[in-house]
Amino acid sequence: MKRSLQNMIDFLKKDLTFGAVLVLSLLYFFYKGVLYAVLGSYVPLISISSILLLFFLSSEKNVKSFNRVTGLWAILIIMWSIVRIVLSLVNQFIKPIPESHVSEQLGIIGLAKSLIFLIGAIYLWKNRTRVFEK
Amino acid sequence: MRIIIKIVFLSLIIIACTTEKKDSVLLSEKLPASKIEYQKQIVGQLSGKYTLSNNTVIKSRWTKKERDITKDYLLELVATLGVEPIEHKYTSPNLNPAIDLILNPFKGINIYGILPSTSKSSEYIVLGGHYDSGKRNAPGAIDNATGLALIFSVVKELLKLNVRNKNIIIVFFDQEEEELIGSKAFAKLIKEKQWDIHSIHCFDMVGWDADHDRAMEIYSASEELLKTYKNVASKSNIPIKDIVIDPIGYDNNSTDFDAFVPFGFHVIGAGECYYHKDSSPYKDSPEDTFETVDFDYLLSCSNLVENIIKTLITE
Repeated sequence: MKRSLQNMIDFLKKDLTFGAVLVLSLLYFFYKGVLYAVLGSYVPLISISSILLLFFLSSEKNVKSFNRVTGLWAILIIMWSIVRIVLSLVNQFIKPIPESHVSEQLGIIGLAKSLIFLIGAIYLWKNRTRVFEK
Repeated sequence: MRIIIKIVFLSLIIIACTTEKKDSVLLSEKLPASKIEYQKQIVGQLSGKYTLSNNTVIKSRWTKKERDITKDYLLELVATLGVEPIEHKYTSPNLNPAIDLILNPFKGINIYGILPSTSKSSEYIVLGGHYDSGKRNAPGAIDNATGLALIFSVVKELLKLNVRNKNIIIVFFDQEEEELIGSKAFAKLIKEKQWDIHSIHCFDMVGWDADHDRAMEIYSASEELLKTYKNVASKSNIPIKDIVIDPIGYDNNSTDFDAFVPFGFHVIGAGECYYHKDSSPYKDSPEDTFETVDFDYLLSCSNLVENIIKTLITE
């Protein structure tokens, strides 16, 4: 376990910007998972815990599998962002969403947040091989 | 190119971290003395007919910003009763766990206040109604500014009593129109606080009476509450159209009343005859305006409810 953690830190240290983007994205979803778990909904925490477990197991193996899991994580964030962006665009330009709670989150601020994650995920996807094959 | 991407990225972060500045809202001039006049003012201010003292107009109570302004207005309204207004902030997960992966949880604020009994009592009567409106741009005059005006007037009259044998909780629910999130959160709060609840009375849409029969519709599983409402109404010659519900396996999500049934409370819902087809056709639309409210009917229902609650707290 200690070795896995050390490996993970070593992988992330290879490129500090890359490592920061990866850690921040994981932290954000982990925070959401904990927040929902407190409210009695466990799906987000189970999902992010599964991803973290994959990162953990892959770090025990080698840098190649860590690279693969990072790729998987990047794809998941891209999918997450695209779903939110599509919903935001539908809400803004095609048909306003009738639920206030949903509509609020998919306004300009929500769209900006989704775009940040999309850019971050594309950055992770494009740079992972360069970083891990250093 | 890299610099442009960095600038765009930073700009997005700034936009995403922006929080909207809240306008200060004040309840305008002193409320009129007559019941029908102050009910008109409350409904008018909540539905965009009248401006607030800082020239804000509550055109609808649907968006977060609009509900925030309404919340501030209602806090001040409760304070005018001499009751300390309390914000009950809640967070609830989405109804479908899969949505939790994409969206943030519901966040809202119920407003409540406690009017203490004059004698030592651990029992509470809850009077509640929702303050949000159903759709974008719906002024929500009947749905449910009328319910709020009714509750306000009832509590204002109860304050004049020398003897109140039960505590009264006045509560304005947030997010009724979004699967009763606010009232469900309040039901949980009641459980947490372990208040000894005598009964809960929910009022939703009290401003339409096309056939002018002054009838009020009530729905409950509690024989006792139904009987009390009918007895008091018969003394005032007000027709009551009752609906007896079966609490076992009850799974409705249309009005705040429904949120309390599964918890086993003595709860009753009341309003215009929605299920008996004498109800505003403008519900959840931009036409749910001040002009469509039958204020004589609202007054008649307010007086009836006032007498019912007086009966219950002087038992």
